[in-house]
Amino acid sequence: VTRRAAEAGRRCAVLLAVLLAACGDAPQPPETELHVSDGWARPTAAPASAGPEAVAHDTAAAPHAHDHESSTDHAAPTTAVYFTIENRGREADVLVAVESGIARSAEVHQTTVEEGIARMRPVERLVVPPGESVVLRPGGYHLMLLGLERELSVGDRFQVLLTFEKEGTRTIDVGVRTQ
Amino acid sequence: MGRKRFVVAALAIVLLGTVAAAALNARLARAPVLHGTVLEPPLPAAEFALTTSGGDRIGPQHFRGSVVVLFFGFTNCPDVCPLTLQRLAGAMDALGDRADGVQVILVSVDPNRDTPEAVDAYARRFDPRFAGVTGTDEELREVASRYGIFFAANPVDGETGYTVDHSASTLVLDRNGRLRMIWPFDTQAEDFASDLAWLLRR
Repeated sequence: VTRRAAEAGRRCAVLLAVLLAACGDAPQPPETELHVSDGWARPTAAPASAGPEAVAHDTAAAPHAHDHESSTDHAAPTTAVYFTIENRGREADVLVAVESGIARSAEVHQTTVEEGIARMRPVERLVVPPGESVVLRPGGYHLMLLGLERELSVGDRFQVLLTFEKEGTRTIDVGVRTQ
Repeated sequence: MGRKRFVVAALAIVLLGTVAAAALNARLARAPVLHGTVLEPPLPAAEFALTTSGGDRIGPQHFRGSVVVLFFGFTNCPDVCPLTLQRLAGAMDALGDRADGVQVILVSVDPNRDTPEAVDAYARRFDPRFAGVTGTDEELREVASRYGIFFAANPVDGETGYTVDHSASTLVLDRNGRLRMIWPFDTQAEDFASDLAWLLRR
């Protein structure tokens, strides 16, 4: 009786192992699956003020002589790029490098405002945990472009290269708008 | 005897308190919703003379009769400064003709990198009516201390070399040149506009 029981147990164990193996083959989220969306940057060219109400303003679209002069004499030193990174994978990934053809260099920064004081610090490694989104937005994380090669006006588009530790490099489209 | 007087006094205090609270409520009901911190009574605001493009020296005292908005920042600031200046420009647009009674002045607290020309051009990108000024480090320290503004250069890794930590609040002087309101960081354009409209009516 004990031998038969043992045999039955062994068979069950084998069956269980087969079932588990089958489970292992079932679709699972990949290690990393990043979705980067809603890339936008602040304009540097006048009128940078063009808010929703200013867009319809007649003079808003007309460049001022003064601004034209300033755009050549005092090129905007910098702008900020914002986007959202969603990680649908099983493991964290890390944004380790950023660059853009329109800027001499680019860095990930974090702004904090505590007790009325604004501070900005470079971020070496921006971690995107699995199942979560990291939102780069005004007053928080942003990508700072340094040494812009041209002015950016509302409606312009350019590309930014993001390098992640696991997923590698990907290109994102960035639209210039005020918010 | 003493006890009776105490009760009368206590009743009087309660009655006075009730009347005062009712009066305050009535006033609050009439008052507009303001988004900044109102200084009541307003404080005398320090005069100053900082340099703008062309070498002119300007300060709030040159804009008496206008509401003067002061923001302290720097042109290499990609996030907090453009966000605030862009919203102030949005408020100017929303105010229409009334915006002529408002003077926005950006004070650069990064005199090493920002020339008067650069900060003035930067401010005018947001609205051609804005002005940008800066000064020597000593002049800026003096102005900042008088307005309760903090700033400090902070070395960081990376190409920026250093960044400037600074107060992100926006200060408002009334038409008589008195410090009247302080807006916190992240105030929206429509809130700037409605507060400015209130200040312009006074």
